[in-house]
Amino acid sequence: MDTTQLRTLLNQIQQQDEGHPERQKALNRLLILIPRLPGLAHSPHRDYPVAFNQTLEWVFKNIQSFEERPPSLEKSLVVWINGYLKWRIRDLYEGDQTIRKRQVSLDQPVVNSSGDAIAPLERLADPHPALSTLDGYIAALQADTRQRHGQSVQAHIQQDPDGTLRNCHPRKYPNCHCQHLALRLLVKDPPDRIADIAREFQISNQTLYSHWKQKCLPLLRDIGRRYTQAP
Amino acid sequence: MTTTLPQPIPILLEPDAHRYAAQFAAEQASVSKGKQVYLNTLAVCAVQRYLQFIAVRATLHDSDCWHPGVRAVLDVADLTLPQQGRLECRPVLANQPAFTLPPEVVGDRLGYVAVAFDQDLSQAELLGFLPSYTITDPLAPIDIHQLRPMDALIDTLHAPSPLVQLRQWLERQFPPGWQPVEQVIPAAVRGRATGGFAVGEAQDITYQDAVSRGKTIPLGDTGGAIALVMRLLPGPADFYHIRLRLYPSGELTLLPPALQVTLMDSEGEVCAAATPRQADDWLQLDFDVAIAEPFCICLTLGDVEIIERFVV
Repeated sequence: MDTTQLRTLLNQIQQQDEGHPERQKALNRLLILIPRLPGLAHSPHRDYPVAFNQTLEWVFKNIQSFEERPPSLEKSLVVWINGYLKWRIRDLYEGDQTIRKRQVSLDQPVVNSSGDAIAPLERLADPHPALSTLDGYIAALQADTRQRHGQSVQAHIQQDPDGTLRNCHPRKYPNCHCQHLALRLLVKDPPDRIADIAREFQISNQTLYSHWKQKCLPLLRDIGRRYTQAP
Repeated sequence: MTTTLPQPIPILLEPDAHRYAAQFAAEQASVSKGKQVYLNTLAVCAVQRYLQFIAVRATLHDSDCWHPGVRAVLDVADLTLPQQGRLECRPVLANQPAFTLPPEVVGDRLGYVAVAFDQDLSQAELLGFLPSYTITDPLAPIDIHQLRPMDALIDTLHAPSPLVQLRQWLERQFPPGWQPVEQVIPAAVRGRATGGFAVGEAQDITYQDAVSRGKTIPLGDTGGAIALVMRLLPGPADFYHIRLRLYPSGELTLLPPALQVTLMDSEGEVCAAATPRQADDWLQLDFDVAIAEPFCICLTLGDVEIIERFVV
């Protein structure tokens, strides 16, 4: 983006009230532009996204007070944003110091949710998974969770204690009931396809889809809503 | 013809988003369901952050994806926009040319935001938006080239009046203000008007698939109001029959002869219009609409103009 475009964009934002659609559209373009600005402060701290997002919020709320200064519009924008962002990054490290001091002074082991002692720095790192490691990460989390909503809801579908699911089916297809469909479309892993089930029952794709969407899913949503508290 | 994708909007994912995602994924019965919930949660958090940036209020506590039992059974990534409706945030994996919408999220959403993630799940990219009325075949995969820039979401949120999604009516979901017909037509008028809507419908078994709802529309500060009643009946192919009726309400006992009702397409072209005769206490328009073609009903009386927008 050249200086003229950037200036036009900033003017659009500065001239419109918060919540105005033209301002919101200009913010869309600024959200794409700001992370690409050369010279923006960065940090390897794991909470950097918090600092950066807080900064964006501040930028959008206070952009009326931004003033262009030499040597250029783009550079003065970076200096203005960094003026806030660097303090937010500093806050992150100061927060870490406070945690460390508290841990050292209390001289107590830090314990994670599984009851295992972990080093303060490991806790601070709190790594999140990457896409490639997500399956293993979730398997470990689930192994640590003794009782799970997912299992309770699945058990309800499998048992269908009040027969609500079994009694709901297209008129001429009593075996194509909501319990059968829920087991194949929601519980089975990987799930079957609606088209395959339709072929099996010799029912039209559209009829089965409509039955599933309009009759079964509302019943299943109601079942789900009964499981509000941790099991 | 080649189409270019809209420029994605990057959103850094905060540790809290991952904490929620991990907590919700841990509750699931299988790893694949856990992964679905994890990515749905990240997508919802990213879109909520984006909406905060552009000063649009969104709440999670009354969204299905934030309900432990509902997210365990359905594939949902919804975000509630108070007074407006629900927005669906669909995770799209890198290089995925298309995505499908689970049946549970089709129909009762304002639209769909496609959300991609980088490999280390530190950043989300809002790829674009698709208003729900553009979904003509809910079973068909959505090519990501169909996505519109995020500006289209802003247009949807600022549309003059909320687009009433008539397909939701078939699932017995009605937006605020649309009530059972008998609650909208004043009793005196209902008894007097010939061909009463509710009575006629109950007696006619061919209309068992029809859905009717009505809304009271005040006519400015006049004290008078109009009861707008719509009946939706699935027709052949992708068409729906709609019967619209107007009844006097509020301080009115008859329809004002100067009242005009106009049916317009999305371009503002007038497709049909009608005015009541002297001493009419109801007025009717019958028309067919195609799926995904928005239309407007415009009521005018003097300086008062009310527009209601619909789409099947």
